[in-house]
Amino acid sequence: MPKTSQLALIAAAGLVLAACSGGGGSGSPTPPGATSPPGATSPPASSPPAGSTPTGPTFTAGVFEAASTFVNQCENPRSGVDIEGNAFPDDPGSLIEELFWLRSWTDETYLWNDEIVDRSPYDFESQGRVAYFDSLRTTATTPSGEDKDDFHFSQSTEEFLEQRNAAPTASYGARFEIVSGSVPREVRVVYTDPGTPASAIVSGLRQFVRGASIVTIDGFDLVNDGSSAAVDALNAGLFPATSGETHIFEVLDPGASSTRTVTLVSADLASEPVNQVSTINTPTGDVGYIHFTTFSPFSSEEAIVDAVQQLDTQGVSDLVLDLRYNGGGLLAVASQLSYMIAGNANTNGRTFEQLRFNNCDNPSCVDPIFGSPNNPIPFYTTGQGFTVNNGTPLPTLNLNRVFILSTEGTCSASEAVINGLRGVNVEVVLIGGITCGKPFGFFPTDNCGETYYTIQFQGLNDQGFGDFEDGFVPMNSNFNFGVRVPGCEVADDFTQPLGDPNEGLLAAALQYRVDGSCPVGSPTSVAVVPETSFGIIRDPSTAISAPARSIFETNRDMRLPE
Amino acid sequence: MIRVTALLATLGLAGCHTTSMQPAEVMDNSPETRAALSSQLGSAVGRARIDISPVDLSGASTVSVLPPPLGQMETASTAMPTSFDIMTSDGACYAVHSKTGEVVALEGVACEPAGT
Repeated sequence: MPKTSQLALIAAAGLVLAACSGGGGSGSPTPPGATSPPGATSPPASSPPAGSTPTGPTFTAGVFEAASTFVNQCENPRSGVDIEGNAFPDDPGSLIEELFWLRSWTDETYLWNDEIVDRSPYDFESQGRVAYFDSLRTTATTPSGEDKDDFHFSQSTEEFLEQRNAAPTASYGARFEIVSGSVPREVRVVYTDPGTPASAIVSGLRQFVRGASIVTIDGFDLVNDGSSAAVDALNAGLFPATSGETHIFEVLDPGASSTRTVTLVSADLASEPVNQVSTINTPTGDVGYIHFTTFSPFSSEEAIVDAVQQLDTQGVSDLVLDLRYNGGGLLAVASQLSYMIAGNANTNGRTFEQLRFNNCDNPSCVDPIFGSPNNPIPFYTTGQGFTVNNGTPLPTLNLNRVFILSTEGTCSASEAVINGLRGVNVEVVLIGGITCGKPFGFFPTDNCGETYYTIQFQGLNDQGFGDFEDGFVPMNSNFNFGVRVPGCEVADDFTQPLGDPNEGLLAAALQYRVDGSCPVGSPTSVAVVPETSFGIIRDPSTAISAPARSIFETNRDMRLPE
Repeated sequence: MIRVTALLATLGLAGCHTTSMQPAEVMDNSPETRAALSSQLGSAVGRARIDISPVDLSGASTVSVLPPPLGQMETASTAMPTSFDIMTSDGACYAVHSKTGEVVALEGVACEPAGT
C-alpha cells in the first residue's frame, strides 16, 4: 500500500463533499522546515555532519552530483528477478546513497525543482528514505489554497508491480460511492457494467440500479453498526476477495419507500472502458452519448474507437461525452478521442499536448527523464497498436463543439481532452461539477525497492495553456477559482440511470444544446469520489489508489465510541 | 532469438532498410506465432516478458509490443506500444524496431512479402 494511503483513504471517504478540486493532500508527513516558502534559500553549504559515514558523499547545498552516481546503491540490495522477470539492478550501498540519489534525481527531474529547500540527506538518516522523499517537493499553493503538488508519494516496488500486473479481480461489476465511510454511513451504487452480476435482470428487476443505497450486507447494518465484526463483514461484502462469493444486500432504490433484497455472486471481472454508447433522437438532430469510464486499460483504445464508429455510422450531429467518473490513463487514447471528436480539419498539424519539464517545454529541447527530444503528442489519427491495429484510420465526428459531463472525478487524461480540444478552438461545454485539476504527470521510478512518484511534467495544449491545477469549472459556478468553461454547474443525479435523457447532467447538456441556457435552480454540484468493486479506488484529487476494502478499516477508529 | 545486427553488415543488410530487405506480413495469428514473437522481441525493448498487442496478426505488416500495464496511479501516462516492422530477406523473417532500426531475426514466425 502506498505510504500515503491512509490519508488518501480518509480523503477518498471524506472528500465527497469537498468543494475544491485537487483537494486532499498527498498525505506526506510534514518534514522539518517544510513550511519554508517556495524559492526559499537553501541552508548554507556544509560538510557531512559529525558522525556521518566518513566515506559517504559530501553534502553541499545547491551542488548536485548526477543521480546516476547513486542510483541502485542500496542499503538492502535485492537479488534475483522481479515478478515481471527483470533482474534487480541493485548493488550493495547505503541508506545515505539512496538519499543522495533521491536528492539528485529530484533536482534533475522534479517539475518545480527550483522550489525545493535543499536539505542535507544526513539530517534524514534516522527518518529514512520515504521521509526524505516527502520533503522533496514544493510547498506552494494554488489560487484555491490547495497544495500545488498534491501528487507526491511512494510505494514499495513489489506492491507497484503486483498492482499493475493484477489479473481481473473479484467483483460484482458495480461501482460504489462511499458518501460517508463512518457512522452513519452511506454507500450508493454509482453505475454497473453491462453483462455483470450487478446489472443482471432478476425477476424483472436489475440487481443494482444507479443511486440505490446499500442498507445492509449479509445482515449487518451498513448505516449504523460500528462494530469490528460489522466492518469486516461490510468490507467482505462490498469488496469480495474471490470470485464465487455469495453476499446478500438489502438496498433502497431511488424513489422507493421500502427496501428489497439482492443476492449477488462475485466474479473475476475487468472494468469496461466504455460503459454505454447510445444515440438520442431530438427534433434538432441526433445526439450521441458515450459513457467513458477509464483511459487506463489498453482495451480503452478499441472500446472508444468502436463507440465513435457507432455514432459516426448513425450520423450524430452532436456528442455528449460522459467523463464524470473517468480518472484518466493513457494520453495517447485521450489524443485519439479528441481527434475523433474534432476531425482532421480542426486538428491537422496541431498539437494535442506538449509536455513541459523543468528545463524543457518545446520540441527543440531534450527531456530530463529519458534524454529524448520533447516531441509533442499530436492528435493521433490512427490506431496506435494498443488494441487497434497500428495505422488503422480512426473514425471522426468532425464536431466543432462537444458537451462533456464532469465531476471532481474527471481527472488527468480526461482533463487533457478538455484542454486539448480547447487548444484547437473546439468549443467544450462543461456540464456538471468542477474537474479535479491535474495537468501533471510522472514516470514512476524504482530505486532500491521503493517506487517514487514525483511530478515531472505538465501538459500544455496547442495554445501553450496547461494551468488548470484548480480544475475546469462550468461558467455559472460560484467558485472563484478554476478555469471557467462554457456550461452549467449541475449536481450529479442519482435518481436516473446514466444515459437517460432525464438524468440531470445529460438533460442539462441537451437543454444547453438547444438554447444555451442552464437549468433553473441548478443545485450546487456535489463532488463525487466513486469507489469501485473492481478492487481499485481512484481518489482523483490525489490520483492515489488503494485497496477498496481499506475504506472502512481506515475509518474504524472514527466510528468506535471512545 | 538471434540478434543479427552485427551479422547484417556481412550480409549487406545493415541499416535495416536495404534493398535486400522488403516489407512483409505475418502469415498467421496462431498462438505459436504470437508466443514466438513475444519470446523474441522482449530483449529489443529491454524487458524480460512482454505482451504483443491482441490484434489479429494475420497479414499484419507491423507488430506492436505493449508497454507495461499502467500503475493504478498513472492517470496521465505517455506510455505507447513499441512498433516493429515485419521484413523479409531470402526467405527469412525479421522484425525491425520502427524507431531504433534494431533488427531481430525471427524464428518460428512465418511471413511473406507484403502484397503477395
